[in-house]
Amino acid sequence: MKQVAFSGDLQRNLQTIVARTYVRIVGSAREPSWLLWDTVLPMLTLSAYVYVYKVMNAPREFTGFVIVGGAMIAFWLNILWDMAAQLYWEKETGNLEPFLIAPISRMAMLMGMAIGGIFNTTLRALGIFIVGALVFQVEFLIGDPVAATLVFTLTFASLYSLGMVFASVFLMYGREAWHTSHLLQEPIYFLSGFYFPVKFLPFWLQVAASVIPVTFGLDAIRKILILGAGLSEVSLHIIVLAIFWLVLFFMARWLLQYMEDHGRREGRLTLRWQ
Amino acid sequence: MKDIARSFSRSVWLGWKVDANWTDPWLFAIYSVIRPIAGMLIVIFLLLVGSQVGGNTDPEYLTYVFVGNTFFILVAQIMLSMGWVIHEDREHYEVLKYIYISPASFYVYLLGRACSTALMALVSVAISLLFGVSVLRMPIDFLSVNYPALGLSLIIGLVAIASFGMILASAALLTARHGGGMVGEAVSGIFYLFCGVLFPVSVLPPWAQVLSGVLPLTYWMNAIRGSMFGVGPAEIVNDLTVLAGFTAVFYLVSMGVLRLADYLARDKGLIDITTEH
Repeated sequence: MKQVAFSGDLQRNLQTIVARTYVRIVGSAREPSWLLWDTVLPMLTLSAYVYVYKVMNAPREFTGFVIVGGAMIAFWLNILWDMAAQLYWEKETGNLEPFLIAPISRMAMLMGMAIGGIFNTTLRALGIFIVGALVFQVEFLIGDPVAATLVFTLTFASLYSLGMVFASVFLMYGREAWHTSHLLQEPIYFLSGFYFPVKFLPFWLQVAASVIPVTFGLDAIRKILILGAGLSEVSLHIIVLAIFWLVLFFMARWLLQYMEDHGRREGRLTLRWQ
Repeated sequence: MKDIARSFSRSVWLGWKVDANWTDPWLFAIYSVIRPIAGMLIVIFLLLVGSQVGGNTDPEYLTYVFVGNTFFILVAQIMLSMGWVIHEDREHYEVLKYIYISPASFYVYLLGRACSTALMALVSVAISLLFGVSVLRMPIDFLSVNYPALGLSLIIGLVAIASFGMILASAALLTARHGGGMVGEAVSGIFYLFCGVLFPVSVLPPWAQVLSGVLPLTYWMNAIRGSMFGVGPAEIVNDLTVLAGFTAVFYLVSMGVLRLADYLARDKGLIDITTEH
């Protein structure tokens, strides 16, 4: 009997993941203006930083560092706005109640958002890579496909798990969720070295940056894509990213349950515009 | 005229409340300061890293970039706000339709929201300048700044930025919400690249220099830098004149674009659409 119930739950949650992913992908496809807003225009800010390196006579690989950083910004923004702030947004628009009433796992719902988000954002990041290669002649190297696959998978897994942690915390927030998401932009771009390798930061800032998974993911991706590094050169990154993923995934699961219970007791799950 | 003034002041007040009353003033102040300072540090470190690996160690270039990037906060904040205000009113607070049926002019309402953001951004600019001079030791002498020219540049420049913000808000009327309203930030990249914020426009390819020449913010940046470094009025007048001319043109264009977007949005039933993805 228990086995039948488990199988039913599993099927329902898999359907939830597919359904939430579908909404994300179809939602973006309905309004293609994101191609301009999310791919072409952000490339202009990146180009400004590329020109700064040119003015400074920096070696060519620094152009590649900026382009890779710009592609990762697309993922970071997706995590902040389409993962972390999403449950808050659902609460504000009145959709949270149906989600909570439905007999589905919250993690399945968030996982659907994450997969849809990764799909959409990968298209945007690819656009940035293509423009970087065509306009700024950046050469991308994948010398070791195994290392590349491991690093990309673990980076996204840990980042989107962090997004789930934020989503559970922001569920309890009022409008400060929005402002906190804004606050997690430039300071993280700076600390995690989105536009320059993090090794150039002072030691104490590097220590602070090491608690952010994107710092390791970005560094490893740059080493693989721009400097042609292999598995042995990014093995430490892979171990750290795997630890981040495990810790953040279970933290998200626990926090989501805790925050939902807390919200039910305090009656904050249906508060809007506070 | 009295009605316009009242609509304008009410929308400035509303903008301030929406942006600031979600927390206590101290936390709001911290949130307001951290982001621009982090943005400034990105650029400063970019230059430090560039000079370390590239060998170009011109200290004047650092000050050039610092001033450009600091005043660009105004552009970034106003564009961010104007790219989001429509979605916020339409989907978040669901009040856009009520603003529409109120007797206030929608253009004046948006101008008031832009003004509210500009006032907060000016505080961020002032704090960033103080941070740069006191902590980063930027060689800026506040006693030799040409304040009348700086004030005039700021006033005309803010009208130009608000006009571009209005065009962006018009586009937002016709498009769906994407992410957290990063559209404004993305659009401000146009000015970041082409208006001499981080490097002289002469570095850009010829076709891009032509584009720089028709963007008023290129002349605004020149006038701001001239004022900050105490350049004589004769040298700033040229930039200010061109800035004022282009600003007048873009102001009129923004009014026309908003009118067109307003017509199309009503025609397509977009005034109260919501996007749930």
